[in-house]
Amino acid sequence: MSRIARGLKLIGDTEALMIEELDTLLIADLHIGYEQALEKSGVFLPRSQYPKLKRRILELLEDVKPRRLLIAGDVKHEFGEATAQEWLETLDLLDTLLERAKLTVVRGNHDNYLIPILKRKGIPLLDPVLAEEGYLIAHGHKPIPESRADVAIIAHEHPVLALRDEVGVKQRYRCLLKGRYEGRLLIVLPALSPLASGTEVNTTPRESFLSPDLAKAELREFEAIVQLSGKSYTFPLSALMPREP
Amino acid sequence: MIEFAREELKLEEALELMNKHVARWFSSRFSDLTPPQRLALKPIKEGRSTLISSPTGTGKTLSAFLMVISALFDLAEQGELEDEIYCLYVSPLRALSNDIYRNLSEPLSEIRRLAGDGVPEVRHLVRTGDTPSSVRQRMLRKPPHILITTPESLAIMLSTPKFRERLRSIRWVIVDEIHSLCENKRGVHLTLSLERLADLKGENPVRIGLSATIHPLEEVAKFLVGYDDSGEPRDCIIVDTSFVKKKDLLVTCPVEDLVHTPAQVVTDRMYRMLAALIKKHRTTLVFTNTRSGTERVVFHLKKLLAEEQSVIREDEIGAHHSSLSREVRLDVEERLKNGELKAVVSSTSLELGIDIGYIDLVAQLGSPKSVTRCLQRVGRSGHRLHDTVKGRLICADRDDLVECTVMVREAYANRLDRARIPRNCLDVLAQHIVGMAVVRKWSVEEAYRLVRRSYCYRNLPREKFEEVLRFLSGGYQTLEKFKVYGKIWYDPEEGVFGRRGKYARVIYTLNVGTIPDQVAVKVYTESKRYIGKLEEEFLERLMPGDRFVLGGKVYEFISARGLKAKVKPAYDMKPTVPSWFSEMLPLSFDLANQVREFRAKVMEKIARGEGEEPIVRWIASCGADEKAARAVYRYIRLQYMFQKAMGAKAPEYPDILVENYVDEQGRRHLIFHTLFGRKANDALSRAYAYLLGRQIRRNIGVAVSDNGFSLIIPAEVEFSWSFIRELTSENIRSILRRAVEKTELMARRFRHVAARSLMILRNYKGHEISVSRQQISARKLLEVCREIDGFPVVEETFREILEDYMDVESAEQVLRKIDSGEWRYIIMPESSVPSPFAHNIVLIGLSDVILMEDKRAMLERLHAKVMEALRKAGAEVAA
Repeated sequence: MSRIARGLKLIGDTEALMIEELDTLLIADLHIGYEQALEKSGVFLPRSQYPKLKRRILELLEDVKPRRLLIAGDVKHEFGEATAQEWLETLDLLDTLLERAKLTVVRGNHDNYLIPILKRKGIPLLDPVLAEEGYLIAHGHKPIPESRADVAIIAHEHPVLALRDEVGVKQRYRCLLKGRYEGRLLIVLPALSPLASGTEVNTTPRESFLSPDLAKAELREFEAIVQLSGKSYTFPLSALMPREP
Repeated sequence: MIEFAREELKLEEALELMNKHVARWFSSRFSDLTPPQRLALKPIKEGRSTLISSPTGTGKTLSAFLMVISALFDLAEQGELEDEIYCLYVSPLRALSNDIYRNLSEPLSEIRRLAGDGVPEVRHLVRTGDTPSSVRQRMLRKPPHILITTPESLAIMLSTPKFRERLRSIRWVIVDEIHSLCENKRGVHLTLSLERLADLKGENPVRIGLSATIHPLEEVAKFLVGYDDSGEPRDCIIVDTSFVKKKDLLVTCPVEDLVHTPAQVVTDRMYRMLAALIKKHRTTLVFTNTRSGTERVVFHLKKLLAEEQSVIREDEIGAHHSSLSREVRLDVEERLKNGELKAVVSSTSLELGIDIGYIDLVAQLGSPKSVTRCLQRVGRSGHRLHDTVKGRLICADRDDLVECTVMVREAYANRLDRARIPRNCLDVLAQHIVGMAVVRKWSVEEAYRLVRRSYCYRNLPREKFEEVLRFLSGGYQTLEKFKVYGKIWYDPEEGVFGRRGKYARVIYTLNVGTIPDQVAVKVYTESKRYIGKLEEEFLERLMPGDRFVLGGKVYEFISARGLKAKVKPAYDMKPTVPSWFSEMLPLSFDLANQVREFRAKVMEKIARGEGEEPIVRWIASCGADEKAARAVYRYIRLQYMFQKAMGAKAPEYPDILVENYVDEQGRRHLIFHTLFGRKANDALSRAYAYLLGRQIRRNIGVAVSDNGFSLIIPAEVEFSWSFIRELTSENIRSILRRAVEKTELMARRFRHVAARSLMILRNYKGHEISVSRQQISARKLLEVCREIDGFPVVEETFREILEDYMDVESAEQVLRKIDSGEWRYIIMPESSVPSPFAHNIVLIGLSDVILMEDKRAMLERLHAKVMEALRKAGAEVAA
């Protein structure tokens, strides 16, 4: 794991962020049940992702042993009302996590139907943001509200870095974004979901970004951080973005 | 038993066999039988399955229909003609269905007139995807006696409860254009439909197949008739009159020296040559190998004719290829039939048997890549039985020229390339199982037996069959509870399966077929000019600034949104990303081997000092004109001189030359002159690339052609040739699986296979689904499915790539020779000049990249590079 800013550590293979002052491990964009959403558009994928996701979160918790696990939105993928059976994975995850740590959720754009379940389990849901000790944590689908926080952390964008080598191979790496925006540090979390697609931050035109703040931010001044097998690599985006016309 | 028909009927004998009205009609129209008719009428009359292989214009279609029509009129006269379908005619082309409909209308009405009003009418109708549902409903109430349809419509009828009942009465099935079906999944799909039809009926109907030139006919016959439950091929009579027409073939070259003449001059002369041929003949059919080539040729021809103020008008030249709209194509066909065109330029679309009227010359630009295709194409000329087929092969590329010279020699000798029929395709199987399940409950054993009657599945292992059932029933889940995606219900304990859910039939009907949707990203320039289409997986790999080839020109990628990409022209620049997708036809393995031998033989003659003139005459005797023969001689002689100058021991047949060429950009090309055709080279190159990559821990660029392949690495990287020895005929399959699993090709083919397996639906609950709405890339889908051991959709993708897209079998054959030491690689010393034979391989640039570096190593290296670049930039700013 590596320190990416004061009090902030990137955890795992670019998977989670530890906020030391808050003794909180932060993950985002799990999109459980993405397979079910795909079915509605005619793609029938065997469901095999959830057990891996659950195992991975437990490993991350085991590694850093935080007091609290905070999910910055989009726990389950589906927007619509789902049958009890389709909630099985989500319920199973919440129960398992509650045994290991305090659990808090910041509301994402996919979480409408999650609200009653969180209530029943006594899991705090923060809407729209969590603000503690100079940190402001939001999902990021809406503009970040006014605040005096020094550090804003959002998710939603699923940032990905695209790299190309000499023979023409292109690889995509899940990444964390970090830069100055509106006078404070802005961090964009990687998505934990292995299925949901992401935004290639160094090749995507500004107008195609999902998060309203990122569409306005000067991304050339940002850095993309990729961490793999315990080593982290920081890429200034200015070096990887095409010149603006 | 499969046997060749030997007994030739005389006209009187044949007329004896026919219904008397049919015989009267026949005598009034024809003075004699054609060769296929002489052989085919009797076995068909006797109710034996028959495969007829004969060129167009030899009365092939009538040989199939005559005895069927005769039997129907017998029934009609006896008052026993029921409102039932007796004969099913299946053709791969909708256009052909309409042709056949028209061609049957006349004889049917004329025979009825001869028979008189007392004899009821014999009816025929077309049912394809275009047929309105009101017409289909009417067909149910009053079925035609002869039903004309397509493979896809047949599959749908077999799964439609009411229509299905109507198929039980079928006695004859005629499969047309079988040569265009047996080498692809559409044909595989049809074989299962035929077995389902036989199963439905309870007995196997008489199967009649019609084919253009193809080889080996015994295999195609088995493909047509299938196997019985004891594993023996069902009986079939083969009528082979493939070579009844005389041939007049010639290879020509616009100039004598293709090495030193400027390309512009060569092209210019080529068009003049073509124009001269068109002027000399009544109607010329010109074949090019690509659609873009077709347009280019039409453009240049028209320009040239205008310049020359020729008697041929611009509107007497037409284009016909599959990207043109249906209306445009129909118009061209109509004008051809009416003799209003002097020339039509086509890629593959006119290869098939659409009736195009009188053609007296076929001109082929470039190599048609196989003897069979060459004969099929030139066979479009001389449409009457006693005409000679006339073909001129015009080549402006040195390798094409050598290839065509050998090809014409082989064509004269009637030596054809072997057709390759795909086997055990799990995606097609999955589709049919869904189709079978929607109509009734099946025991696994019974269904497995049915499937194995098809030629394409006769060796299908039981486990594979059960894996497909498991996949379709929603198995392979981590939680037993999530059986939501199942399309069939399957009980492995009881060994039964059947329909599941109300959508299964709709899903099947709306998604039937094997031709993948070409999910296309439309490409525009900044000024919104439309350029062409790219596939999704290719777009995914592009980054702004990348240059790639589209429609023969280079463009720079700017950005993409959804399924639209923006580019700008970069015509004079070299492409920076490989475009492995290619419209080019692959050279067949059999012909490639002949070309390899031919090149060696000419070189041997040169080495023996036989002298230019005798050698040129020898080359010309294959079927080339003098200019062409001389150009071939000069090209091979140049290679000979080059090899001699290299000082190293020159390879002697059957040795294989390997070059070590370092280009100006500091890239090393290891060029293997494996003249085995692109499909075998696709396999060999990737396998060697994987092994070399494993050795040097770098990604390897690959360039593949029919004549060889090249592995491309940075010149400064140390390597050892030992990687060559690591590949054997034993391990190539497992190495190839590892080599292709991360490629763009794999992702693309996976999407197609998933669609055929009904894992990805194009049309669901009545909605057309665009890929952009499917919210997931094929690459991601593949990643998920690859983790599941033995997942049929992944397994089929590997099979399709190794066996159909590539030719791993031929590669194994080559490697066995190398394993045994019979063939050797002769490695040349490093050189800054590639040999003449290598030029076309070097020109390809890149066909593919084999990913060898792990993701983290690549990240680390590129990170160091980026930081270095930034440091340099920073230093300059500081200075």
